[in-house]
Amino acid sequence: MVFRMGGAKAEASSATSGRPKTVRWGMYVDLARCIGCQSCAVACKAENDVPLGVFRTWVKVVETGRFPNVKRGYLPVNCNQCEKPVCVAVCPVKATYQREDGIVLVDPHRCIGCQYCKAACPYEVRHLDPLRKIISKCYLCHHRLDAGLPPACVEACPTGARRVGNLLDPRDPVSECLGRQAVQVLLPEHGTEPQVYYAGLDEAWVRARGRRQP
Amino acid sequence: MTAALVWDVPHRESFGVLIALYIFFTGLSAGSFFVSTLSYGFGLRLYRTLARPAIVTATLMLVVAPLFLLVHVGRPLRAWHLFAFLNPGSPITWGSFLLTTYPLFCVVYGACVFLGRDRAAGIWGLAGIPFAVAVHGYTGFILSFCASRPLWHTSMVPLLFLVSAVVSGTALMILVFAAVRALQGKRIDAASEAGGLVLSLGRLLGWVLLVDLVLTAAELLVGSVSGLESRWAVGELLRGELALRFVGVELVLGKVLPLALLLSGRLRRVWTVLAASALIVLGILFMRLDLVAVGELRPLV
Repeated sequence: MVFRMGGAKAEASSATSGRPKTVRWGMYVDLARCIGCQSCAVACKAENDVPLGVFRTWVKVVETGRFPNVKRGYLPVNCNQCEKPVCVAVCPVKATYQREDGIVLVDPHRCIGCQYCKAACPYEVRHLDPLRKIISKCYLCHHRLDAGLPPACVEACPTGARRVGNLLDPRDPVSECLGRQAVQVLLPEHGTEPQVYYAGLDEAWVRARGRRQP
Repeated sequence: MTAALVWDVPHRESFGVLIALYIFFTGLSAGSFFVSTLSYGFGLRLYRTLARPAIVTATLMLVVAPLFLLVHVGRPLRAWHLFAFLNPGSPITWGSFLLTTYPLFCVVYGACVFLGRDRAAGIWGLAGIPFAVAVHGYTGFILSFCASRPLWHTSMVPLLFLVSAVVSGTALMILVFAAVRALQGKRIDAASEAGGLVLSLGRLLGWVLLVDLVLTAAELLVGSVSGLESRWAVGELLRGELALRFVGVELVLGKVLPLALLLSGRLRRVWTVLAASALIVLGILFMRLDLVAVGELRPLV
């Protein structure tokens, strides 16, 4: 039997093998725990050799309220590993694809660097690798997950705000968190079914935005 | 409650000026092709003298346009991936095939025109029009497939692109015609056949420009009452950072002023039609730049 957790597909069965899916990776972020230390951003850079000027994950910092009732908000952002990824739909060479366990990857040998996926992604979590001239993004550290290790950002987080788990396993701690409390996703209106769930997300944090660097 | 941004990672824009210029040049090509077929395809003999310069212009613009793509794309040597691993659902894939078939029509039709094969030129010209339309229309779909970008994600964009292609192509052809005459040392007299051609094409241009203006107004009107993002984008165009470019150059200099010059019988002279054409080409260039810019001006999350 397959349990429905969060937005993951209930009758998830692999199109290629016909076997029912048993693994669907997703992320849970407890925003009350995040202290905005950017350890996740640094750990990701070190783990994945991310070049200067671009990030696969970072913590967006905002301020809400009116003096004296003010608060800082910290919003860790990375690829949402969407169930219905727009990037996969628009890639002209099928370089971006989704693994059976939900992780969205870019084939570095196939990508031509046209940046259409980057323009189409509602979360703007993709970037052009300034050295390799191809699109790069968060892969949920699939190399570590496949080896039974948590992603670098999860391991580095000093407060345990980030967690990654198998959304199809009812005994997974992340599945328990998602089932028992109110969670939100980023920009659900785009129908991409993002699989990074936030506890305690303020909509205003998402809407606070600056300008693009020239 | 609103929040103020303290720190974020805004990645560079995806399309930028290079893609805007690519759209501008494919538009000029498609529009010039359309002008070239007016005489052979549609039997408007008045425009016969334009057929040759127009098809040469259409072909040259199509040589220039993909160069911007090659500079923009990170790995241009992998362009063959577009055919080997194609994704039929992506507008860029449609473009891969259009950008390879449309030039064939340009060359074959052009050869028929220059070799004096009138009947064949008519057939190839008419057959080429859907490809000219599609090669420009698909760029509109590239933008409108980006569902989260304000003012890109409308079904108006591909349509607006087609009309503006005809507008900019016709205006460019009037300028090219005048330049060719000037190089031959001939003046364009209002009473001469050349003058009549410029005036008549100018009037046609005026009516297409009116359609362009109406579509632009519709996009702005509906955008101003749509979702948060669209309203922000319309405000940015009308009152914000892009206002000088959009209202000043694109709307007033590029559309309203030329419209007055072209459609008012009292103002329409050979030199005013030439001035209006130059303003229109400038205005459409800014239309491409403004539309691409407004969709990418700020991060989405």
